[in-house]
Amino acid sequence: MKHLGLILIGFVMLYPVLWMIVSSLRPDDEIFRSPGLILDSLRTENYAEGWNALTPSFGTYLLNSTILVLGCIVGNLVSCSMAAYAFARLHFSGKRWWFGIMLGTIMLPIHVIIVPQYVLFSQLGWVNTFLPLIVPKVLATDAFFVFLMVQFIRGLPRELDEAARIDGCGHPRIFLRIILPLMKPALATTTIFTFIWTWNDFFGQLIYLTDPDMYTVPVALRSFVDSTVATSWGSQFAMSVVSLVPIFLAFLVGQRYLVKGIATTGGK
Amino acid sequence: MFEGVHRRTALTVLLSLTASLLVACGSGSDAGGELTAEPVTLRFSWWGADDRHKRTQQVIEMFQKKHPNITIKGEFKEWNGYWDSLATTMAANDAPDVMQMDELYIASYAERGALLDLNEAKKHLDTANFDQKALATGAIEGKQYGVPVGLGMYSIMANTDLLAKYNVPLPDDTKWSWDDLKKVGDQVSKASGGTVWGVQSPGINDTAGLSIRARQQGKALFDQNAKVVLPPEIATQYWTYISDLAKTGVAPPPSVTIEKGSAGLNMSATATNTAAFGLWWNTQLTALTAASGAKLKLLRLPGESQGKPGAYYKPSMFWSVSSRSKHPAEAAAFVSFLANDEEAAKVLLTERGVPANLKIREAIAGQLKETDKAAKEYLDTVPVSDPPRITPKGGSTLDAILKRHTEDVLFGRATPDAAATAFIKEVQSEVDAAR
Repeated sequence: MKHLGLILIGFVMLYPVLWMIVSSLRPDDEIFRSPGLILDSLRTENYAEGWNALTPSFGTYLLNSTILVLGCIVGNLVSCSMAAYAFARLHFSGKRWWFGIMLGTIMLPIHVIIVPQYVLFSQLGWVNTFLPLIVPKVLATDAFFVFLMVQFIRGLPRELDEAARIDGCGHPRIFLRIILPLMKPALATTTIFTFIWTWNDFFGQLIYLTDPDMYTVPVALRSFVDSTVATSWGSQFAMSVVSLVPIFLAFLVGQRYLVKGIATTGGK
Repeated sequence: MFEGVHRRTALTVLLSLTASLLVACGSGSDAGGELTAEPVTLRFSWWGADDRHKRTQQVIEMFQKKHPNITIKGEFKEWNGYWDSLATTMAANDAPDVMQMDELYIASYAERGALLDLNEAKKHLDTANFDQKALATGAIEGKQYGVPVGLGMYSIMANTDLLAKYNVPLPDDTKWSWDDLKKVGDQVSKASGGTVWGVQSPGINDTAGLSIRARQQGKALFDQNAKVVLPPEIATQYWTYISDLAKTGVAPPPSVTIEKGSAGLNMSATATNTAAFGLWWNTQLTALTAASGAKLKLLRLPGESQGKPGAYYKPSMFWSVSSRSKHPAEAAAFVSFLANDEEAAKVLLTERGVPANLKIREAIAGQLKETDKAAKEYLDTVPVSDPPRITPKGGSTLDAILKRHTEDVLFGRATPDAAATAFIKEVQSEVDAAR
């Protein structure tokens, strides 16, 4: 009985996704005239057409998104863990104050900072490269992950550090040998969230990547739709399905770590 | 621009930022100089969907073949993203050289000095074959900030398949009134037993519907000095009409109207065969016919024979050149190519509207689909009056404001009277704030 209820609710939640998948297999003109889930004709051409609908083809966008995502993941893992170690274990003046400022950056909406940021990056000649999107990550600007890792490190017993210190370790070695190996769940959470958020981010990529050769998946997907003219919804849905596959896989693989990471950091 | 478009309001902030950054720049260009033989790269940005991207990229290649030293980098976006990105790049002094411009925004950008007066580049930009009334839509105080690309006209689209199905005769559009539209719509609603509505609630997303009402009574939204001169009675009358349609079941209930209104063309009542009449731009006939699979016929607007004609040419979009382009002469030459080249026109066809260039319009006539031909014929034959004043600077939120008040009226949160007064006040203060 409980399962039946869960399946039912699950179906309701999944309905839009199922509808998208079904619609990606329908001819354009049928999509909005027959709103049900039952397919009366299978049309797989949407996938081929969608793949080649824009120039360059969709493979380029997938590749660009992948490069961007990998860069952001590496940047976040390296920089946020170091920043978090500093906040959790080091003593320096104004630590609380800096921590507060760091958390405050979460509340700054992107629209406020986008123009000065754009001016800065365009002066550096970085517009139309992935640099404006990756370099900030290397500087631990994702305060959410820093906070997540700080909470995690605070949960690790200090005795471990002290034992290492007695054995002659300085901060670099304590960080690399003791803290980092114990932080795996938090690192996994960071990896997965960075993946999903970067893969789905639209605004930054729209602003900084102007050349179609540099477009990423979200920017390309949006280029299919224009509310003023007829849109090839079939192709767009097909490509949406394609772009969901990596996210789905990432979640499938990382789900275990994700739950663990949240369970061990959020509880405090 | 057209029915079903969402508009960003938050960007007014960015636009005013743009203004402050733009002060320092004049055009000071060599727009009248010779075309260079050096290699030049121009950035060209437009909004649209995949079909437009393809056609435009093809035309870019054709131009590059003719001018091997000029490289055009095409950047395609969709509507909302386009304006977000344009406002940001403008503020950072990094705008594309050639851009697609919309009527709502052209004054906002031009009056802040962001667009080149194309008269300076006359040597490279040929506008001889344009209808003067059409060309005037891209000019502000004698300065040509945009070349109109395509023209559209508001029209009523009638689904003749539905009319035949419910035995409702097609009304005579040369002398019908708004009341006639309501009557015939009511017949359809009654005959279908509630499955199909008579009229898709007209003009809820953009101000053209209201503007036409005003024009038919000899009034307008704005006067030449960008003052809102719309008499509140006309706005009251407009909203009373729309809410009557919804209340009497001639049009869908408010929730459906609002949902469909923001869902885009393919999901509209006309495209899904759930309304017999709808107010649309004549150029959308092809897209709507494809989406609905039914026979659609373009009718003249109601009320045109009772008062003054309210119909006018609406430029679907403009080609504009950035005032800070480093290569204004080459940019102008590219715009000229887009506007005048017959080979290019044969690729672009009517995707951006029926061409405003009369020579081009005839040149492609033979290649047009039935529905495009009907749209062209509508444009060629239906009488028009002078275009309304270009939406003034600060007016780019006009449609969003109208939509909000329409929702208030439809859902009974405001009377048409109250909405009319509030609407006029709000628009005036937006325009004043941008001065």
